[in-house]
Amino acid sequence: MTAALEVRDLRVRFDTDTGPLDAVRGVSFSIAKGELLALVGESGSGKSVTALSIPQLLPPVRVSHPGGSIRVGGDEMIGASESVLRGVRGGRVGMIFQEPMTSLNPLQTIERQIGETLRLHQGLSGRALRDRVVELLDLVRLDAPRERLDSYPHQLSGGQRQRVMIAIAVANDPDLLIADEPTTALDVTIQAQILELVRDLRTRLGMAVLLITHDLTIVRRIADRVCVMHNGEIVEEGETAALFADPQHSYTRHLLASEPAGRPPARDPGAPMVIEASDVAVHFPIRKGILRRQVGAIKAVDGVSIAIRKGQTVGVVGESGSGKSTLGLALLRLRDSRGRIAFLGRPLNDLPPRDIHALRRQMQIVFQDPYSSLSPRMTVRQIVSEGLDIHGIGRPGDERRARVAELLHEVRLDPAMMDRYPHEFSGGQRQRISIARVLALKPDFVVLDEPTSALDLSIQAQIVELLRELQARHGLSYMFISHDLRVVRALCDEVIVMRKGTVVEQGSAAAIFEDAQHPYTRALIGASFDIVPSPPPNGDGRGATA
Amino acid sequence: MTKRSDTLTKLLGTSVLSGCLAAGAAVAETQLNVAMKSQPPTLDLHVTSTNTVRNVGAHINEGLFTFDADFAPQPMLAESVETSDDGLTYTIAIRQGVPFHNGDELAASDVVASLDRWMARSSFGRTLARYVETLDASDDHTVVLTLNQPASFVVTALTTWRAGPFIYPEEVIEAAGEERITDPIGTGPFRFVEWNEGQDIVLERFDDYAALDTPASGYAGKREALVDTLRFVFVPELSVRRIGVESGDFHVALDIDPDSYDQYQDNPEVVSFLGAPRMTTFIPNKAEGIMADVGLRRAVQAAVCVEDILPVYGGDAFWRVDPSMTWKETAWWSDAGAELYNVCDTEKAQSLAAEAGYDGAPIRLAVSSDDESKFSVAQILEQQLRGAGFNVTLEVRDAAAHEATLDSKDGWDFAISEHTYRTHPILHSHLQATWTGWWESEERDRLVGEFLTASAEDAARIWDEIHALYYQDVVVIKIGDYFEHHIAADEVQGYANMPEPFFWNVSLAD
Amino acid sequence: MWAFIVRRLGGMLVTMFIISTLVFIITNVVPGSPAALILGEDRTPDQVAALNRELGLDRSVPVRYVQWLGDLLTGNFGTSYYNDNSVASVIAGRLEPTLILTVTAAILAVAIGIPLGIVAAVYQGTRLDYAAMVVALIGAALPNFWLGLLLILLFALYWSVFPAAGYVSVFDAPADSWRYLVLPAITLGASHAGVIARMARANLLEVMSADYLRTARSKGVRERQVILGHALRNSMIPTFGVVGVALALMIGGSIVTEAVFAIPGVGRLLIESVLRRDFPMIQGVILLIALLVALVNLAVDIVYAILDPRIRYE
Repeated sequence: MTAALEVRDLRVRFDTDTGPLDAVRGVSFSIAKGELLALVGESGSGKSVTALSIPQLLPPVRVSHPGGSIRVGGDEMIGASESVLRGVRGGRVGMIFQEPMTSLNPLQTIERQIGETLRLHQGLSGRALRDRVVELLDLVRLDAPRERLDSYPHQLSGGQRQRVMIAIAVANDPDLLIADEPTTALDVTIQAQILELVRDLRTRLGMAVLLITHDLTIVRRIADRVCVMHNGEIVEEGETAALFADPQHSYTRHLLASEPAGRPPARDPGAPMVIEASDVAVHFPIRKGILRRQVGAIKAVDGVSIAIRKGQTVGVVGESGSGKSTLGLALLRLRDSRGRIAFLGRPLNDLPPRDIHALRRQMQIVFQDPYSSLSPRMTVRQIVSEGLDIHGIGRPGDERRARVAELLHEVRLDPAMMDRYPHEFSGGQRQRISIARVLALKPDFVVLDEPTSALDLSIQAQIVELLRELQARHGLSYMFISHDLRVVRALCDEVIVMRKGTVVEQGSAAAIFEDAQHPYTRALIGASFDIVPSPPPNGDGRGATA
Repeated sequence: MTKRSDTLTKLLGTSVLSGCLAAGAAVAETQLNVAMKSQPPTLDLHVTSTNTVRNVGAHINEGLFTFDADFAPQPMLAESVETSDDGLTYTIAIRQGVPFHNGDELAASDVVASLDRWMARSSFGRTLARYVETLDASDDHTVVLTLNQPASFVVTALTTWRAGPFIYPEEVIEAAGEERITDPIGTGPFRFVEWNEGQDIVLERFDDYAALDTPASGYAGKREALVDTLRFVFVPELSVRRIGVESGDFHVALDIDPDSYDQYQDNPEVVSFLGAPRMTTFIPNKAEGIMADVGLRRAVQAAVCVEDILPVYGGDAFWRVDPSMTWKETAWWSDAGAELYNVCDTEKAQSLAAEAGYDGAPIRLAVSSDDESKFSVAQILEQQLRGAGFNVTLEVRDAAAHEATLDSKDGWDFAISEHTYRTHPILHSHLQATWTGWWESEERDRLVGEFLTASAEDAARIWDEIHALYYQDVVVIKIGDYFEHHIAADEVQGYANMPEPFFWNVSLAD
Repeated sequence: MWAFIVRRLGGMLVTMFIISTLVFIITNVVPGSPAALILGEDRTPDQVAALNRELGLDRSVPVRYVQWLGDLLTGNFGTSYYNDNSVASVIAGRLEPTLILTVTAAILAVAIGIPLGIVAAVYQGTRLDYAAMVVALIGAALPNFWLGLLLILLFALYWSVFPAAGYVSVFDAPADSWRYLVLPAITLGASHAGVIARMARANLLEVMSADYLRTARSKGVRERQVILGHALRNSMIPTFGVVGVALALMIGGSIVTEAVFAIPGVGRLLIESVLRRDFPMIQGVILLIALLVALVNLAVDIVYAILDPRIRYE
């Protein structure tokens, strides 16, 4: 019996402006029918390139295969004709991608996009086509499938779009499903549902699945076997349980150790209150009609109270749209809100703009996206010293330069690099630059808005470590906004769980993680920490199931 | 409009295919296309002296008299004119059987109504009106004009082309009231068909035209429409007017740059015409400001060298050095006072300026930017006068602002002005104290009064005296004469090159 | 959607009011005498005064403004100072050539620009791409005036294919009118064709790396169909915006083309009226151009909503 997929000594070379770049260097693996193989690695490891090579979807102009073989059900893909490949794509091999927001054509209805693959491979049309589309939507468990046929992608949520993607991928009963980071961009509870769906469809349709991911939790949860990729090579391969229990290769061990670990140190419960807010509400008006009369309001944040003491961290968790980022902006007075907010005992609500500006130095924010939040036209030194200039801290020239060097050193960046531009730095380094910029103003209170979400796992762990260290040294108070409960647990003293603008549960981190009361909290925790091996004896990180 | 474009297509076609299709075909409609720079503001010939109005309107309307090739007045709609012995009564017989375009026959009442309106609205008409006691129709075809004192220029005034006494039907005059005439009906060889705003004016042959049987001479004598339609097209772009004639789209183009003259001398397909002679003058503001001092005006007059300026009008054929305020083409040419023309003596200018106590105060020279030649004249003058120690500064405005400036007594010291061709001294607006520059002179008033009532022999002598006074008082500083340039395709035949272009008696060769 | 359109039309009224006020102030503050130009060189002061009285120019600017605005509200755009015709009727006569010219030029610009841009994008980096972009650059860079004269020289004078200048209404002589329209439409459309080609190329290239094209390819869709069926329509949405801008620019920018080809359009009317200080006409033409531009913008927004299901105005 032939394997669903057989990859032998695959090499992928990119022809770049600076010369050839070998992205994949002799990778071999195979997937049996009905098997689920996870290809794990960090960004740049070559895992996605490997996946796209299978149906030969890499742009042909700049990509070559200096060697190797890819056999789908025994048929060679490398060098196959376009017509053969078109039969494989969407036919024997289905694919789902990471970005559900952009992977569907925004101008075509759901029916048309699913129907296209059915027409191409099965020649369906008319009523039969429509029935099959409905059947597929039903299969991927989209609610009210008939009513969705005429929907456009923007009318669906991220999870729904990913279901549509899956419907497209499995439309022609493929032998192999390639899922390239299928859940990375989704909220945790949706992630769990999508993974459940993939696992279920594998069984029902008997297909092999190649899962590309960087998320070890997912791997542990559903993979039969794991291949760990690093620098274009597979460094370790094995049964999932065995590999996690006893990693052989140093990189695998490093990867496993990168999971956010540790707990916040014990805090002083009598520390002074830094920020205290009660009944914060942010409503966006809904206007309709010719006269734009307000007919209602979107309650982005509704009646949230939060208090953070000096040197402590409050985590705000919730899925996208829960209002957690809006709450952060409201606390910093970057967005109008109702409810009382006091900073270091001073009420902020009625302060004139000039006084707010003065206070802003003490209240800072770090954003999620390290790529767009730094001006590409400013050097690192200009970025870090900008706040010093605005608030007139230190004398211009050498004094500020010395201060920038000191700050870069503190976030573990080489001060010699201060005259470079952001694009010369990696994502993790940029996030360090963002932190240095904030630190420059010696703030008391910092809102960290998903500061680690866009980063690789091992980098994530380093940033968490850095934040913890800076907090201890400077007595900083954090509001830590995240959807990633593992990072929250590693950093936060208290946790607020938000959903649709309101608080569903609030309490000490220990209490929430050990004994969540609200079903939504339990679902979140379940999705993040599901199916894990028993916690290591020292009990430092892998939580119990909810 | 359909007919027009069809005929245009035919014309374009026939110019290529005429050889093959000469025999047998029905006589093709002929259309003469004349490209002019801009469209007229109105077709009311009484109210404005603008060229564009006359270029079109003179084909539709006729006057009692008109000029022959020697610029002598000849009867047009008048049959004859008799003057009483005391010179106070003019009896004008109107031709019989002359139809208007609306079918009515021309009558004395139409003439009286037209002349009344003209004497009320046109600047020259009003000059004549000062001498007119009564104007009446004595019968259907006789008009009697009585004067309050003898005047030698009555017939000349009635021959005027610029804002002249063109004859409209009485009811058209009445319908217009105080407004402009909107129904251009006349007795001319062409009648008005349509005016496509911004695009063209179309005239067609008036089949019932009552032509004179005297031979054609200048504007006078037999007139005959030899093309079916006459179309004036408004083409603002100079080069397109030129290319249009070269390509056959237009038959005639008016207002062409003189620089292209030489080029057309070697081109058998395009004929170049020198049009009306015009003159360029340099007008001092005699009412207010520094130039109110005649001594300083004389100093400036002595500094001007016209030979350095006139070449802006093109090659030698396009300009001439001439001291006369009346054109060489007319009987009124004069060189009285010419010793003060084109003196070109910097030292003399400086000593005159010193005498006048000139202290280097700024002298504002106003010029319009719309006309390239005027602007070049101003630039050269500025250099000449600066070289002679006058502190001249150019003040450039667009035509509308420039003309508005000239209407006000403050704000300028000198202006460049170009004057269109006049057949008689009385038609010169310089002679009126109210005209820009404001020449207030009792001597002038006395001489003009004498001039207008003098006999023909005395008039020439008095005009010489006035002419000398022009130079003495430095009313204007004359630069020189220059010519307009028009072009026509070689198929255009019978074009009489008079100062004002006209297209009766003009045909298109096959 | 209807509420959106009604609201936009309301906004347009406000804009029109502001524009008309500004134009009124500017035209009446700029020095210059309409009477002097009408009366010609031999005018006398009493003639000028009489004409000014007839035109109403002897009243103060605020009085004239109130009068003009009042007339406007009753649908009366006033009377031309220069030729005594009603402003509305003159403009109505001049509108057809401008609209036909700009629409033809826009169609031409789209018909040339978009295929050129698509070819360049599909064959990105090849000689075909460079050739198409050089053509586009030349089109965008040539001054209208110069291009117009060049076309007249070549097509009217040397080859006698098209008439040099003039305008024939399509309603009067449909068979002939197009011959008068070809050269001006190319002249006016060329620069916009160049811009549209460059935008079409850039937009298509941007879309070419979109994730949903990868999805389409993963479904086994032919490359041709990937471009025609998925990429093109998506890339057309921003390109369409450029076309709308181009059309608006052409309405205001047809002045030079109209002058070169002696086309009796509103652009030329505006220039002539400014030179003559024909204030009622200037105000009328500017209001009309502003209205047309606003309508084009509204139309662009509506078409956006039709093309792109993500856009829903309320």
